[in-house]
Amino acid sequence: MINKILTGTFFKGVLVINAIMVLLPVFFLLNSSLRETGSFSANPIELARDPQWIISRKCGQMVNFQFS
Amino acid sequence: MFLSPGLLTILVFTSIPALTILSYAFFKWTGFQREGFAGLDNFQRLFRFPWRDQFFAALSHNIIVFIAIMVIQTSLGILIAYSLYRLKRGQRFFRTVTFLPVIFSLVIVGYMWQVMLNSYFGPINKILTDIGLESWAQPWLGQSSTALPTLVFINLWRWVGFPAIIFLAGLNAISSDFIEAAQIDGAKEGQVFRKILFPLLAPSMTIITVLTFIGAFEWFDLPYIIGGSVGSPAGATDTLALMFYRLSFGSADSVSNDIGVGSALGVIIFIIVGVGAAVGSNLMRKREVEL
Repeated sequence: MINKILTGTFFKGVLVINAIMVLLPVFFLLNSSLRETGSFSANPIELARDPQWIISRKCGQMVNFQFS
Repeated sequence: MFLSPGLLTILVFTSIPALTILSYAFFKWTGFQREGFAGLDNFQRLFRFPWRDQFFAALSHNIIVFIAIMVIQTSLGILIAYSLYRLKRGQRFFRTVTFLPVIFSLVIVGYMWQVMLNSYFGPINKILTDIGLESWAQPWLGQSSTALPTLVFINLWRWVGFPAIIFLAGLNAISSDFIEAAQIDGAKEGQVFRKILFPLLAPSMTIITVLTFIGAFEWFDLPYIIGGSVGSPAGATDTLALMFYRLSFGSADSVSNDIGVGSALGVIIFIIVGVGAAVGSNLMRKREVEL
């Protein structure tokens, strides 16, 4: 029984699930960084269709990063 | 002579600070002002009201965290490592992804999961509600029953790549001659893993067990980022290291500190970690030889 489960597909599945578990929160963080607070509160799982790059720019200005 | 720079560095940066905090534990303190010799009074006070209950609650959390991490994180680490070991194509991508959270700043990881698990606008509760599992949506970090398991999960997300990579290195170091010989003798994959690979992973297991033990009993950063120095909610995520911080430096709800009792707790943490790590590594090394 166990030998039937422990196939190549099972181990590939483990890696794919692990990759999804790692990358989804990171993608969520990146996606959220491109949205305004209001839009995020209204629907947290929506894609940033209109990316607000200005947020990163403001953030850079606040910590004195020099954008050329 | 050649050892003297190293010994001097250890003496200045490790031994002297450790001995200094040990000495602090035997003095009476008013704020940051050291007063007369107190003997073992600070240790006795740690085991009296109001700190006794906090100490045992924090200690129990550390023990729970150690057991949970040891069982879940190590098992997943072995599973991921073996899955990576078997993979012929794409190993580099999955290896990188597995290790990725380990290189993230813990502050960012803490913030990210606080937002993800937020009870009002967090996506996890939103998804659970959207798929009809409203009753599963919880204030994960806001209630005592789920706060510690959630912190363990976040810790697992952040750290599972570390044991996985250590175990993968251990698996890659095993000579293929053993595996081929077993396969020629008719051993199946499960038998090869159980009888050859797993026993030969014993040195990696020793490293992971000792590091997990040290990490679990010195667990500070993640509970502090998520629950603050008081181990919110209601001390549900309190640990010995957080209690040490509160006692030594004060906290948001109690600015008064007690360096004497804090130092006594520091000494106790040092003894738990030092003795536990030494005994654990000795026992596991003996087992490595037996295996």
